[in-house]
Amino acid sequence: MPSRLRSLVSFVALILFTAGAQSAIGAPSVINLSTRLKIETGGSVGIAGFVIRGTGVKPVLIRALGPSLTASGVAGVLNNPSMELYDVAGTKFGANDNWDQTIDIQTKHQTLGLALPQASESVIYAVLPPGAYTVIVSGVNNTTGVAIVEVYDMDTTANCSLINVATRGMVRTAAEVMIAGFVLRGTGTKDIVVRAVGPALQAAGVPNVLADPTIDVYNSSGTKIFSNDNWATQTAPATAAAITASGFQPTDSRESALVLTLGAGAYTVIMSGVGNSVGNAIVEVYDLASLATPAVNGQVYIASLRPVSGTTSTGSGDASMLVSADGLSATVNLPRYTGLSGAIVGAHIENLSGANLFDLNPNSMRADGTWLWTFAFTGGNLTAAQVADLIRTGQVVLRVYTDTNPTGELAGTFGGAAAGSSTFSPPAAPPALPGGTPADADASRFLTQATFGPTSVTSTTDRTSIAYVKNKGFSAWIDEQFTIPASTLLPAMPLPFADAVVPTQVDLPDYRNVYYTWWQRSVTAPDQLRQRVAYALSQILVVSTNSANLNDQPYSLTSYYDLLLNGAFGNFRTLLKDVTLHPAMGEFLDMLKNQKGTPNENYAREINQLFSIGLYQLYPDGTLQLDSRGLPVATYDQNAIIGFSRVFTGWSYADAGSNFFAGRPFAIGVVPLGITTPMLQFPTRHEPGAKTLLNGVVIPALPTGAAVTAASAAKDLDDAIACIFAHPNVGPFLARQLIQRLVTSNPSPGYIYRVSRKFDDNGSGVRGDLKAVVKAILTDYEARTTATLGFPGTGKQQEPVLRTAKVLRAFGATSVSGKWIISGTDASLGMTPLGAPTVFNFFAPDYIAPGDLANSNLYSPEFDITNESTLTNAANTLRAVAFDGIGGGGNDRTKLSFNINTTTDPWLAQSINTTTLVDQFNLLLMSGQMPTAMRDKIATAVALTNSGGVTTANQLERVRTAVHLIITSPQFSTQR
Amino acid sequence: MNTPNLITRRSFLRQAACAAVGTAGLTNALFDLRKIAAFSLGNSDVLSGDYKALVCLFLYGGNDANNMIVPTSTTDYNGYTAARGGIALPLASLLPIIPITTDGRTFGLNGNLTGLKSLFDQQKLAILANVGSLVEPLNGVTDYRLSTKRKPPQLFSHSDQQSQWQTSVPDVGLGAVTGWGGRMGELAALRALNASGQVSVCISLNGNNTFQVGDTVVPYNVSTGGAVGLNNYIYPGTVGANANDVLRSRAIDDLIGLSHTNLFEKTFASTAKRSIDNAALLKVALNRTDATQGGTPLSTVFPATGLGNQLKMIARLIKGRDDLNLRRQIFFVSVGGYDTHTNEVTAHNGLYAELSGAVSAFYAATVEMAVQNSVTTFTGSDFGRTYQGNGNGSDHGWGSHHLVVGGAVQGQNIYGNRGMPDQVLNQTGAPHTNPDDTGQGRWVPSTSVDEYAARLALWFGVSQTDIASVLPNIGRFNTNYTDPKLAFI
Repeated sequence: MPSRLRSLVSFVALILFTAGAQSAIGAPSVINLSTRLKIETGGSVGIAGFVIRGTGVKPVLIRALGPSLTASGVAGVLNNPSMELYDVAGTKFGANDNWDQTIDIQTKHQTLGLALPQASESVIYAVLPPGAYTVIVSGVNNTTGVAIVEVYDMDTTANCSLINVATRGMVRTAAEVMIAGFVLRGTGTKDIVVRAVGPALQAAGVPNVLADPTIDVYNSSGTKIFSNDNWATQTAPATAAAITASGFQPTDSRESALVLTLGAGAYTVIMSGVGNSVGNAIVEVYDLASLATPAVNGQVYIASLRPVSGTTSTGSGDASMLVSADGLSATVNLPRYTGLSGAIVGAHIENLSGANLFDLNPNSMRADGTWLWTFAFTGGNLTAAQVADLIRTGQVVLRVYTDTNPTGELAGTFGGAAAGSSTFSPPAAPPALPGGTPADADASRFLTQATFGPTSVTSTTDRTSIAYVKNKGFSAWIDEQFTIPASTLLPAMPLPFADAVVPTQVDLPDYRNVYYTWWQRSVTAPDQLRQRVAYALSQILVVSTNSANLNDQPYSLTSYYDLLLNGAFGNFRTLLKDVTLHPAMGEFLDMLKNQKGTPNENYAREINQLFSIGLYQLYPDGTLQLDSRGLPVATYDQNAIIGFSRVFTGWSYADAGSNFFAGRPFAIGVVPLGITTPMLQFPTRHEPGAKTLLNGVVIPALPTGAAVTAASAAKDLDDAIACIFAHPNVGPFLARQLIQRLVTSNPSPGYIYRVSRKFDDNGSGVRGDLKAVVKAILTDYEARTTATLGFPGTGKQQEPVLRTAKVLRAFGATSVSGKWIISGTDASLGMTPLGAPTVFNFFAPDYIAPGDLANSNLYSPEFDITNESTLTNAANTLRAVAFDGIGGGGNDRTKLSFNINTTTDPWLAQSINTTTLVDQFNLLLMSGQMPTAMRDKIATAVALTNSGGVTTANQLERVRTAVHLIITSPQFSTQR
Repeated sequence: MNTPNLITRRSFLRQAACAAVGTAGLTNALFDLRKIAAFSLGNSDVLSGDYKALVCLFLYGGNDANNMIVPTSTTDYNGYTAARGGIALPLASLLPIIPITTDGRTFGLNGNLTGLKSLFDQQKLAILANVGSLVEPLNGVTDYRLSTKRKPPQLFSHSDQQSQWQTSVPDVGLGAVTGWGGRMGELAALRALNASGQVSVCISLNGNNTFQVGDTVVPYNVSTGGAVGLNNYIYPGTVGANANDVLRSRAIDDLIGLSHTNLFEKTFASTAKRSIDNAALLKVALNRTDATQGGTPLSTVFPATGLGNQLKMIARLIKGRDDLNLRRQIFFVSVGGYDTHTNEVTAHNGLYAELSGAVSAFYAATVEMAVQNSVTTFTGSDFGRTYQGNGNGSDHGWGSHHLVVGGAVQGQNIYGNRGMPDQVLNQTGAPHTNPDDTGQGRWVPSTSVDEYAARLALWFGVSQTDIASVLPNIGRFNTNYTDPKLAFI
């Protein structure tokens, strides 16, 4: 609102009523709203507002008169009034000083039956859309005087109405009281509310308010027809209850209000102060009939907060506003904002030009965490109806300010009522990345995201060296990784063997071989990108040794993991089907041997909730779709779960022969078929009835008399997978979780959107191409930019297994025996690969750690398993890795290179120069992100360790000090 | 600078006025072991006169209480076997219980619950029938089917129902991050009682949970072996330690103490610091029951099970409560594996034996320490399970039965707003006679978690006026705190 604080002119005022009573049909319309008042300076300026509600447009004639008042006996008029018309967004709709004496304006006056203004007076004719408007009158060259503002409705047949006028200004005594006028035309009667407000203005920051306003209403013959002082005490013409019922009851008992039922004619309202008191006040006139069907009442509005254009931010947030049923106030909630670049310093609701309408001040927050926004006097001069219209027409914005972005970091427009739900607009594209050869630190960071960790700084042949990535470039490096065959786990499993005592009995190798092989492959296999993505997938499409059915099944689990390795760069639809039919999943979530009748619902529920679409409908950027109540929309109901559970019936081991309930046969020296190959369909066990799936898809029942066949059951399964795969949630659901596993716990909506688009279409029209998804994740602005590295919410905790693997890779870990006897790591690392507690993985994607992370609304999945006990256990484990290694004993122990080959390991030589040593470790382990203060502390400690002289033992101890301090630190534990 | 962090402001507002309270659990930078020892000696047993502890025993996965408490009267048992099929328990395997007040129906406990049956008979165990998460009271299926009645979102989902159970604000759903244990622990009245406390009012024995998280309360995690110490870490002031260990320990302190802009890093650092600080404190408390440190071990023998070990550690912490200077404590233990879609009967044999053995040993230990009237253990779980069996298991349900154990419990009775649900399924195409069955035996809870929690909170010392701070929705439910239907404690 540009002019609210400018100096306007002083004046005195009088009555005037200009009326153009024309014949009209039906109830009378308010055709004119006018106010005359004393405008002073500063906070006592005079400002008039009016509201147009409805559809279409409304022609209005607005006049600011001064000299014409002299004819009515007013002294001290404003000789040269000028006028500006704004909408509440601050857009100037028109301005006029001396009116344009063309035929057109003259004709308008004739239509209304008005005398022409004097030459120095101002007139604006405008055709306005529904909305709230403000008229500001001033004297040219800062002259002062009495003026009147009038608004005339030029078309009472339009589908929109002029419903309200309000004027604020200084109320003095005698001739300097405030006077408002309005004209009704037509037949019958109309309900009008007139009110005068003073004390309540104080809360809006208006100075010197009129403490006790009183109003008198006159008809066109100058007869006082009604009066009111304190609104609650009145009994006529309507009771105080009628005012309350109108919704326009003032908040202060000293203020005045009247509900009037009036016929056609011109009316005048005079507001003055009781006992000749003076002060600023506002007089308002409302047309109740036009307010009777407001569009805004009781509606929920949603604002999706996104970075303000031009800021560097990965932030986002949500705000909601419930407009009260009477349209006079709103409950404002800012439940979530996150990913800000700095500390929040304020949050405002503003109009489109940035003027503050409501401050989400912490001190005015209510106990339930929301704010009550009382619309009247917003900004000191808007009426409740004006504010409600602003909201309804999408002209209010919630803006969040941070110390790093003091002009605003996040903003979102409240909308939603029109469509009955929230709406989606695609996020803005991110800034361009600088391109060119990556820096060492950037290449190291990339390898931390795309592999189990960089293995070298300088090697030109090692594909996971920093130098190799720099030379290749990110995109080409990824393409090369796509071509590397999978290093699968099952081939490394020992085969079933004969029992030593009873040679005919088959013994199985220990299930811990799953973990041994997982560590060996994850740390050393050349297909690092594939290994890392498969590990991420294993945390989404979870099976676990932590299951009565699987804890003794090394073949089943490794075979399942191989499916993920092979499928990591395939199509998600294929992967989802393969996962569904794998016996490990069958065992884990009870689809195996599930049969018609009252089928088990376990897999039916989790394939939807955890593997593909989640609980709530999402937009392509991963944000929640909200209904007209502001609530999330469920993706499925119990009927769909029952439907899917019927689909998943009749499957058993591939080698079960004709016995649906067959056990798991084993033979000496043979990889067991039944638990490593897809399950087999037993049609007599498959449900023939109808199956309700998602989004109204129903698989019809088989025709009466028709029998289930293996083909029809397989088609049921294909149809069910297709139904899930087609759901729009899959892209954003999978994108977010893969990003969380590889890059950051809190991807911005834009990041999720860009990746989910690639899921929807890889560029060649293919949906579900995981290569495209993986590449989009790792080459995205948010994964690659360094501009956000310093933000409080950037990155993620590197989970203990990843930290350990990274250290083992960085220092070329080997075991002399070639075995990696690293058993279950629940006790030592708080988690075991392929050993999650349940299908909900080690940690939930939506976990928010209490404290600082919760206070910034940052998801922090890995902190779900981080507490005083697990954190310290992991620190002890990593310390042991630095000093002695990990896993089995003797030659089976996996040790870091400087612990195995102490004489030739290059790190020992570097220990002489402590800062060089620490800098190299910084690059290899921390992507060059080690703070200087940390570097200095570690260098000091290293220099103090065994400072006696350059012996192998002393050098070894110093290297260990450096590694130990880094890998147990909070800084290393955080991947940015 | 007045930085309006709106979320912390929200947290602040939710607390009762709390100007002059202590630093319970949040700041305990006490490195000087000698000082701690002297302090604890000087305060020995001072606090014992006013001590209370709540132990939340969470059965993860959704306990099928329909096989924990089984109807035994002929009609009901026949309905039970018809509905449950392959998972129906033989009548002879059940342990008959005789509640003090009864509606005529008879029940038996699962045969593995011998210890709990004994506690029931001793009036130290109460059963609360058909409890679950509710947004507002629902009068059975009739209300459940009304679109105007609000239901918790995402019924039957593990993660959501666990969260709803532990937060008791199911209508907030996605936004709720504090639990009723944590909110209780940060009430001004309780903070005042714990003003000298050295560790968090909330201690978890089995990892992170939402139940114990408050706006300011962060639960402290202890392993079944006690506080996990940082190996080779030398506390300041220690004499005669390895020089490299000392300098590395000081460097560890330095790295933790650096300023952390990144909040993942900062949270990691604060957890590490809490671990280092609290480990020393806890050791003092646990030494009282450690014979190798001159203490006297508890004579109660705990079963060597996961739950047994967790509850044993709680008993030892209670024994050392004066060293921690806490007069109110909220503990959390949990057992997984209750998601019995298959092999339910076999799984229950292990789970219920573990439950019964550990809980009865824990009660015995409280008797041994003469705090049995000050310690109350209660169960929670994601949800109940379908009364209708699926062959050899059951699927996700809603209302379920829960157990409350302790000297303060009005035991040997079955409570609940509408008691045990009818033990019969509504059948498609037949008149629906069971007012609590939404289909397949998913019971509409007749008692909300709020109502259950409120009675526990009142016993714990929360005033009636503070209840709404702990349980924001309680006003929608039965707040007649003398109602005999819920007078289990």
